[in-house]
Amino acid sequence: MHKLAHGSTLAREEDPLFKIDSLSFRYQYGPLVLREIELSIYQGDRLAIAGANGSGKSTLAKHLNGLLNSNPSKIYYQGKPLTEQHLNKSRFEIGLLFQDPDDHLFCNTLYDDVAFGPLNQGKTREETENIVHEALTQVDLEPHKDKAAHCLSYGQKKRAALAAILAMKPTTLILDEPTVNLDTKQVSIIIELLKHFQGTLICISHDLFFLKEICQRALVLQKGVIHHNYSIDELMAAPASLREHGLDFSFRSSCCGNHHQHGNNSHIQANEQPSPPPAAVCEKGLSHPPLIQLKNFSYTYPNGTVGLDNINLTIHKGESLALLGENGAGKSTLAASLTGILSGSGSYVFNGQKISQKNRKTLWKDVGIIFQDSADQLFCPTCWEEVAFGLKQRKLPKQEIHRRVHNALDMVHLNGFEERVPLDMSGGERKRLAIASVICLQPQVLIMDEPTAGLDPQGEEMFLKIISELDITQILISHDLFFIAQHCQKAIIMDRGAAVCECSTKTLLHDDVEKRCLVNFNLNLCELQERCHKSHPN
Amino acid sequence: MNDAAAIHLDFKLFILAIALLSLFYLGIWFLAFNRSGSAKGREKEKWFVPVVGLDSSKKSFFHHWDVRLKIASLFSYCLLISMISEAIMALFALLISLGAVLLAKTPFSRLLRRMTAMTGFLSMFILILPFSAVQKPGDQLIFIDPFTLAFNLRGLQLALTIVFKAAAIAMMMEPLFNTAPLPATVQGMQRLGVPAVICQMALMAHRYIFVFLHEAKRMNTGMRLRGFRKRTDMETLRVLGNFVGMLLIRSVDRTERVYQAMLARGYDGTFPTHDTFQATGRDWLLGFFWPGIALLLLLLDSKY
Repeated sequence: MHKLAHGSTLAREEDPLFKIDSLSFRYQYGPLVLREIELSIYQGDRLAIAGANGSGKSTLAKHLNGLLNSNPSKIYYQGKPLTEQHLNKSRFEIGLLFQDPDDHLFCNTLYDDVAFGPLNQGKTREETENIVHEALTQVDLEPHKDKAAHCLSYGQKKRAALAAILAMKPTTLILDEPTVNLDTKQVSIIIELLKHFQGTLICISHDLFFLKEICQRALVLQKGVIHHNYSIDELMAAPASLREHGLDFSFRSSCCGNHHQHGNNSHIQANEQPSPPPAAVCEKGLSHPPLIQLKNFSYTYPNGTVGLDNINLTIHKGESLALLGENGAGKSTLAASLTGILSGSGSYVFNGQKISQKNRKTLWKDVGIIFQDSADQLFCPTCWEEVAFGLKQRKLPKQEIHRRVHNALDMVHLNGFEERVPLDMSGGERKRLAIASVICLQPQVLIMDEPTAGLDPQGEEMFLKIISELDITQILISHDLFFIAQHCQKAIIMDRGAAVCECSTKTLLHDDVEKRCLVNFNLNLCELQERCHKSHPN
Repeated sequence: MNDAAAIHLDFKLFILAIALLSLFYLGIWFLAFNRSGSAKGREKEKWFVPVVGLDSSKKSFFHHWDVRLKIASLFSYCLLISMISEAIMALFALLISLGAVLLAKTPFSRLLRRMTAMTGFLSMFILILPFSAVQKPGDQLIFIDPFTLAFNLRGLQLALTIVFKAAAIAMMMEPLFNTAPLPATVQGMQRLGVPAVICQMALMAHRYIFVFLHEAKRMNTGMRLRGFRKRTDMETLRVLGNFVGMLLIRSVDRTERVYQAMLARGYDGTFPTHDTFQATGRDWLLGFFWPGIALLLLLLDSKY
């Protein structure tokens, strides 16, 4: 381990708002998650907490709110230990936003959820009504106040959870991965909200560019130890340190052929040329009939929401296609239809064969999908069984199963994990296990739904390397324009269930302006759509 | 047995009657469960998910009624209806409940679905009671040739009484639970003495059943996309065991996180409330009206 760098330049004379003295913590029967944490957070600080998956960031955040409090005498808020009366009072001032918005929205209407905190604070009915109105207006959800949480989109739920916290008028805001799975529009809304937040801000994220927008100070955790505590500019200017902590995002700049232009980022070493998409495979495939062809394909959800509206789509063998669009645009619905999970109206031809109600159930042999949340496709007690599951369903000989499991685990760098419990693995490892469990079935098409959401930069880089080595047709659903530019030849922009535009990623994303945006992955979809229409006026 | 009046029915006629009855049920099932899913490219709704408070934004006297009095009154009505012993009075109760459902502006399709969900259970009464009722003097028996099995008309009447009463009570659940938002209904129940902890559990169960079903559905999809099909073998049992276990672990994890989120927002063991109840004279009048009607039916029933 390198020498720990606790930024002396950040030392202040005033009393800290939070003070943690030598805090160590382990979950029941687990290893130490936090080790000897020494930390002071001052009033008005805007602190970023970064670190690889499993480094203890969320655990530390829960300690700051007194939710995990094995040793309360080691955590001080406003000079007093976070216990009993002081803890109850402090919780009204410290807002904590969890990663999964469903954890926050436990009432039956959005109004009740947002009113929960203020009512606990003892506000009157009239005051609460005003506060709820104000908080929901802030996140642009006032018209939805009578809806139940399960009727909202993911992005709306995330904003609703933030509104529920903001309604308590906290003086300290702790956010755990507030932008995961959100499209650029929703991220912009959250950035604007946080920029205007006046109190102390503590934000956990893998997205260093997002952190740079809203924070000044950075704390880097690794295996439960604070490795760095300095300004965010210093962090981003230390490539060796970033790499060591799995936060190195410099691989992102390699596609752009240039250094990105923000702050002190000149350290990033970049390749001269963008890495070409695997076009050779694509050209080979174009001479053959399309692998996937959708004509006038539509799908409506039970509540009447149009999921897909008259989609026409052709994908050739070996192509890599990106699906772009805001949350709720229909990308995941299209993916589910392509795998045969959903059955829509219109024509769907796969490999020259028309897909009917009967044979859509056999599509799993040719179309594999990696879900947004890999926990949804991991249900076996060990990694080996997880990968072997599909192969057993295909009734392959034992020897063949053994060979394929071994190869798949090898490909995703999970050798030696055979007996590990999938649920106990980190997010990145689970994602790789999900890939192994799909690619061992040797599908013709691999669909990836937001594959990099929640991964640290090191995990992202490894993931990109793995999927680049796969010689199959790939469909990537992502808000991450870097991944799309790096990996796909064609992009389809979707809006309200319709494919509004289709063009090559080269046209869409490659020029100097885009290069900068790609690194920031904050490009407006409307802008992209306009650009796409310009290149394909018809 | 000798005092019972016996009628002999041809076996073919009996089969025809059974076939017609089956067709009738199948028709109802088709109407109830396939109407929303009949359009191509449209998924069927999950009829087994208990959605409550659906029509709370509509306008009727049920919607404006004080929730506490509504619960107390309609529950009393249901309780009294359950005491009716004559089929004709039970039929009247059914018609009154149907009237209440119409006044509450409940969509016909949902009512049909609710009733159809009960048909399997209620059919058993109609099929079994006529053959299993104890024969008493004066009973009318129908013998289906060539079998010696007797179809007791009093048994049928008994079965119909149960079916009508059950349907009348089930129908009343629509105005009871779907004419106010669920939190208001549950709060009303709490004011009537239901323990707070039960009320909170009911609210949270209703909120998280959707999250749970969503998780279960995605995991099931994940399994199907790797070729899993349910069969009658040990392997299927093993896989389903893993599936249920994983769901359980995820649910426990979520419970922990939800509880932490509640604590983080100042939860101290009691759910804060913001609804206020104020019963008017009209509410009280309505409150006495429904049990009054049920009492009247009971009175007529005893004199019938």
